[in-house]
Amino acid sequence: MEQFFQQVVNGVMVGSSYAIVALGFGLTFSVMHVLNLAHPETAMVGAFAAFVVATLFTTNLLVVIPLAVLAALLAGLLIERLAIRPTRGRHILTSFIATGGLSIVMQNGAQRIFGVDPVRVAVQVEGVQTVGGVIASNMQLMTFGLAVAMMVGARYYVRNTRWGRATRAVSEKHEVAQALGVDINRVSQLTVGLSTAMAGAAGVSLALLHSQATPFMGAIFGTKSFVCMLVAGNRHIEGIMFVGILLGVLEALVAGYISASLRDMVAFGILVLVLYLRPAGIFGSYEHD
Amino acid sequence: MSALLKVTGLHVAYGPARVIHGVDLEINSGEIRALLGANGAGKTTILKAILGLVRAAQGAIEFPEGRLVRGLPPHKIAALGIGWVPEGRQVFSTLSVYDNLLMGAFNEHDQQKVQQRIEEMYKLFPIIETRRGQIAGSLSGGEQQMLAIARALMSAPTLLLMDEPSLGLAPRLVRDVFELVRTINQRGVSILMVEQNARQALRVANWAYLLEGGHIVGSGTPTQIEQSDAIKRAYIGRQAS
Ligand SMILES: Nc1ncnc2c1ncn2[C@@H]1O[C@H](COP(=O)(O)OP(=O)(O)OP(=O)(O)O)[C@@H](O)[C@H]1O
Ligand SMILES: [Mg+2]
Repeated sequence: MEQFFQQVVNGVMVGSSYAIVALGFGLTFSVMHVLNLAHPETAMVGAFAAFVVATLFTTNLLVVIPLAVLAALLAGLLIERLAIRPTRGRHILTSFIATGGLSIVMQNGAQRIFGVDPVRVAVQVEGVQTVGGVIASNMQLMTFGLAVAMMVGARYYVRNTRWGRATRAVSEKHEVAQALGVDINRVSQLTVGLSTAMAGAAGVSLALLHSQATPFMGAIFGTKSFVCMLVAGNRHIEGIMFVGILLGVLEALVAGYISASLRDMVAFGILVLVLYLRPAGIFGSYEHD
Repeated sequence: MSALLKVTGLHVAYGPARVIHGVDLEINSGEIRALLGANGAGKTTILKAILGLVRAAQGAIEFPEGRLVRGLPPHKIAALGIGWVPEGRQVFSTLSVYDNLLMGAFNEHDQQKVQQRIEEMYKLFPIIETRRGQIAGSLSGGEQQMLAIARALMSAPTLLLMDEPSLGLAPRLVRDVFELVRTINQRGVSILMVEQNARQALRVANWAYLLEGGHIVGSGTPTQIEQSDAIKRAYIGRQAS
């Protein structure tokens, strides 16, 4: 039983990172109707930013994390300008090609700069918390807290702020929103900026938890998050968060009880099952208008 | 004095499909003008071109009073004082009624003014007040139309573009809507109204344009339009009422 709870805790920690990457994927898709294939690469940018800051300047997390998130956000704004804004309103394949191309450029760019091998992100957080034999490291708890803060912040923004309201309006009927005075390019920037900042937080979390960053870390991570979005549907923030965390837990259980080598198959197993049973996702539809 | 809105030589195409062919129209302050025409004539397209939502291939759009707006992004055009009641209501169905109203005043930063306008809308549309916390998608068709009109008025526009406000409403509500058009106009808002319901529209408008296949084929006072052959041929002949 203890081992079970331990796996669940580990799963929640990783799953919260899937959740915030998935949230960004879903947010960008439902607002801009663009699938940003370069989205997971911004997590990688966050991870390498953490590496650079930690190696060259300081290992103080209060500096490392904000700078990593900022780096991912800036990368996101660049992606928005280069590949999302120009392809908005066109066929979805156009944005696929544009953001997919950028994704390849970013992966290979990182490889050019940092090499193929993982770089070591040497930031330590000492200590563990134990509750009834279940252990969570302070580092785990810190990254979990970061993910939760990001989710709560995103939810607050979308629900309770003026631009958040405009974002929901654009997501539903962008022409009407524009004719009411909403600058859609601003909404695009805010949405992609927020989404990629969350991905950056996930990226730096992974880098800290595993003490490393690699140029291709976005790929598998992004695919899993994308699966979360597909499984949850793109309607509810809570739904995406729930599915992200659930995926983390299932993976941890599979790795713990069956075999670690099967871990990466979990996401795709669920995807196939859900798309078969509920093609629009568990929580809502992909349709608009 | 120049017109409040003046459209000259407007051409619009969707890709290779050219749908508006050199349309001229204008509206002076204080007027109600109607734009009539059968399905697919291009009425909605003209409104969207004025709003900057579709790109005009050619022509000039001046609002207000001579300012050239063609090519400006829609949010900048809206800020000049144009309100839009889109075809088929198009309320934000996942937002609350109250949030829909707030969206109407998106660029009004004076919260006092916003609240004041909301109160005005509640007076004009009592039903909206009782439904304010509800999700707009749960309103009836008639209620949604009222909300769409209220939302457009929230920005205190000088010109209101109304796209088939009576579409799909029960006869009694249709009468109410046209009454409302008068009321809004009496409060100083100029109105350009697209309608299929030509008879009713001609009753409230003081000038009308007749659009056929992307061309203006007639214009004049309601009496002139009603007596023209063009309208009988293109339009009223097919209407039941
Ligand atoms: N997005 C679009 N892409 C391509 N063609 C379009 C588009 N929107 C409208 N059209 C075409 O342009 C023409 C004019 O359409 P528009 O909607 O302006 O007509 P309308 O007069 O408003 O008709 P209705 O009374 O049915 O609303 C039609 O032939 C229509 O098929
Ligand atoms: Mg129309």
